[in-house]
Amino acid sequence: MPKVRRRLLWLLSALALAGPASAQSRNNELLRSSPRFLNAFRDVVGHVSSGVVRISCDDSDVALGIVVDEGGWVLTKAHDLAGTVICKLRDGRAFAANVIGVHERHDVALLQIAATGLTAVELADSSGARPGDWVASAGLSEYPLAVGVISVPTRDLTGPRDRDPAQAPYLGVGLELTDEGVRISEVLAGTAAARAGLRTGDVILDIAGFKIRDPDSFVEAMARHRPGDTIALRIGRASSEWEVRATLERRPQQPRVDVQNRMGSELSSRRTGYTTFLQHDTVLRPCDCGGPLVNLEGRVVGLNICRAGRVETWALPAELLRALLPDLKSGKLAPPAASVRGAATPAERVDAVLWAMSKRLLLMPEVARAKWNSGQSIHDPAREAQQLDRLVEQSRQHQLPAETVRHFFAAQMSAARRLQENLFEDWRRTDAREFEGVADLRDTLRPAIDRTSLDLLAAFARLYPYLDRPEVQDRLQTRSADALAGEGINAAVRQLAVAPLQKMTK
Amino acid sequence: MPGHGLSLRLLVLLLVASASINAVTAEELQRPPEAFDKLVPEDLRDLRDIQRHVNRVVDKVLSSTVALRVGQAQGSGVIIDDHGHVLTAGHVSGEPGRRVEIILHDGRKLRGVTLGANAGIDSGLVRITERASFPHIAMARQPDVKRGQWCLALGHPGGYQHGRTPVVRLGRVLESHTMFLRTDCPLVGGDSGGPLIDMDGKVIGIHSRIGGSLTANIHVPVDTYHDTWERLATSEFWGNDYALFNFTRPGAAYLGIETEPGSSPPRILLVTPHSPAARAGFQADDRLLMIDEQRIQSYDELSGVLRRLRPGAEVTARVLRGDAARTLNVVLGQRPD
Repeated sequence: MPKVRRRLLWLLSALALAGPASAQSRNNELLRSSPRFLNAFRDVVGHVSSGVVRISCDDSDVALGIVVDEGGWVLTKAHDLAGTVICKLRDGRAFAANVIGVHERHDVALLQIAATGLTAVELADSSGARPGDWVASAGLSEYPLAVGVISVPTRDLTGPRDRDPAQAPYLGVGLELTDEGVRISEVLAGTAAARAGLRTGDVILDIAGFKIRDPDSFVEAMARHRPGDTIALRIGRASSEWEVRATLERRPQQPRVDVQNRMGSELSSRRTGYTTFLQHDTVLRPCDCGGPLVNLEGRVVGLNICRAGRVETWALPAELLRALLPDLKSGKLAPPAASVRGAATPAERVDAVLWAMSKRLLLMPEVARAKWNSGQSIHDPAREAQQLDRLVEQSRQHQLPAETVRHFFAAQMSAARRLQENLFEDWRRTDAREFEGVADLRDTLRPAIDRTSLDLLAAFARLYPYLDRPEVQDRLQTRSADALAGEGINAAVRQLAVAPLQKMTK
Repeated sequence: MPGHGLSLRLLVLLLVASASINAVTAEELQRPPEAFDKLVPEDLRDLRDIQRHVNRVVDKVLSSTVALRVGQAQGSGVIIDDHGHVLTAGHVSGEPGRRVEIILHDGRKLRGVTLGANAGIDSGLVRITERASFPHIAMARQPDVKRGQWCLALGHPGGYQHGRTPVVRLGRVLESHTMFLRTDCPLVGGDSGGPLIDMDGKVIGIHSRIGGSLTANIHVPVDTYHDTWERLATSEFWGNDYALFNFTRPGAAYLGIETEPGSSPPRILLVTPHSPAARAGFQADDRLLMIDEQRIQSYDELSGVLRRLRPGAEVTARVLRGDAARTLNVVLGQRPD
């Protein structure tokens, strides 16, 4: 959108009154970023940092994560996760992570890694936080990454709002008038324009048939639409014309075109749409978000969720995270199974099956905990028979032989039973008590299992025609151990789950 | 959006009716603990001492920090007496006699008027004209502001937001001059006019402007408000004829340099890449002697000259580089947002 005249009195910028160099170096010792300053916080974050992991995707660091359970559950910021997700521990070990659940609005993801010997971090409460309280952002070392103070205690923006609702539709581009017409000079990250694939340099020719001659006609064209509308833009790119469809959104509450907020530090790519957060003045790199925010008592009051502006970093309050955990664990918020549908080569089809298989198995520890708490037995023949019948019924659309489907899923169920028996043995040996915060078996876990079973069925159907290919059998041989890992999964469980694929002949 | 304004006013009236008047009952602050005298806090005990005291200072000053709406613009301010005087930045209050809406920390809105301003140093004064009771805090008297001193910045970054209390930042004074204070309390648009507070809970400065780095946050020293109180209170408007404001306003003529404060002739610290100055060949460490045939001896003189010029104007500049003076041809640009 072209920049509308600002309502704010922006501070007079770029007068940059920086002192002479000698004063600068003297000042550096005073700053909160100085090593001596951070050293004072050692005792504050020391014990928390052992439960922090570094998360990287495709070899670049994207976030930190918080280990919330020794079984390998890790909470982190969701927005920047992409591709293969790796968690690196403080001791140098690295594990591939499964994304178990994603809460879109709060931007939080739950990962599972198959690591042992983890230290879990206890999530406390942010309700006692007062403006001016020290907060430290823990990383993997004994020193905090950065420190600051609470600027505004936790607030909730979900209630009725008095603010200008900003009804104007928003595309998220900067414009300039050139000889060719109205050219996009900037595409703002995370906006409708970015999602639609618009690029800097594109010339906007018309919007839904309305000709764009200058920035004013752009405003006029946009005024005909509302947030949520999908519009067709005709654009000129590389001397040809293209049509791009964009779904308009609401104008963000603070102008995203905000030069001043970008002055001095890098901002997170997502920094709007959060509804419950506490605000602090710590200067944090975007890739250091996702980790714990700790108060002077050493308690985790939140998870840093975004670097929002020049003066602010936001954190999701710990009490919100605790409330979200059961849903994230249940699989109710599982991310779309893109890899199942996208798999093309036989090897990729094997990976898709293993991926879906592991997702199903990774639900089982929570199932076991639920059964342990309620005293139910692991084996439930009636439920298994019912599941198998449903899956056979479903498999008709995939044109798979009924007996093949029955055999394959019966194996998955015995693998799941073996996994739970493994855990029960451990718990009996260690005299485990009742587990807290466990997802409900009937309302959340079983529906989640049913959904992952359908994903697995779809992946299996795509692999089935290729099963007797040598490259498929090779792939199964080499990938199973890596792909199938996690709490309670051992070689026996793995073997039970994969066996039907190896023995099967058409 | 008329409907919106109406509902807001309704809510505000309710708030006025229900708000207990919080007229500076806060107990006197205790002496700041010794931890504040150290270069940096050394251990958990120092941190705890600092936090305890900072919490008390915040309690004392938060409710006196206000948001200001002047015309279409928003800034911040701080109430400093029971006559309703509000310190702010000169570029927030602007010309005398303008109507102001003052929004208290609890959302209550009061009417006011702009009084005087010194556009040169960027000090400004507003007065609440409505009969009402409101909290206020004191201005420090001739504070000896030292480098390393702890301070709090409060204000409404991004403008007033319903349900958000004034935003607190903690930092240190990095530079103290008669013309400005510099701190590492990060500021951004909307903070202009908000208070910089010392650990006695008194106002030592008013937020004015920022530079590119997070340690370039500039505040107007409180002394100037004492020294020029009569002029401000009697709605005098003076000081380099609005130079600061016009020079930096988007759309004004733009050169693209940052200069060392107080240097004469101005020494260039930084040339913005791709700016008119960069294209003309300006370099860091150049001293700017003359622009458009006008001798330049200070930053204010430079801004005065630029203010008279239009974007697109072609002018010559004389700079001193090492021992040699050079002439550069500049096509002035338009100040970006």
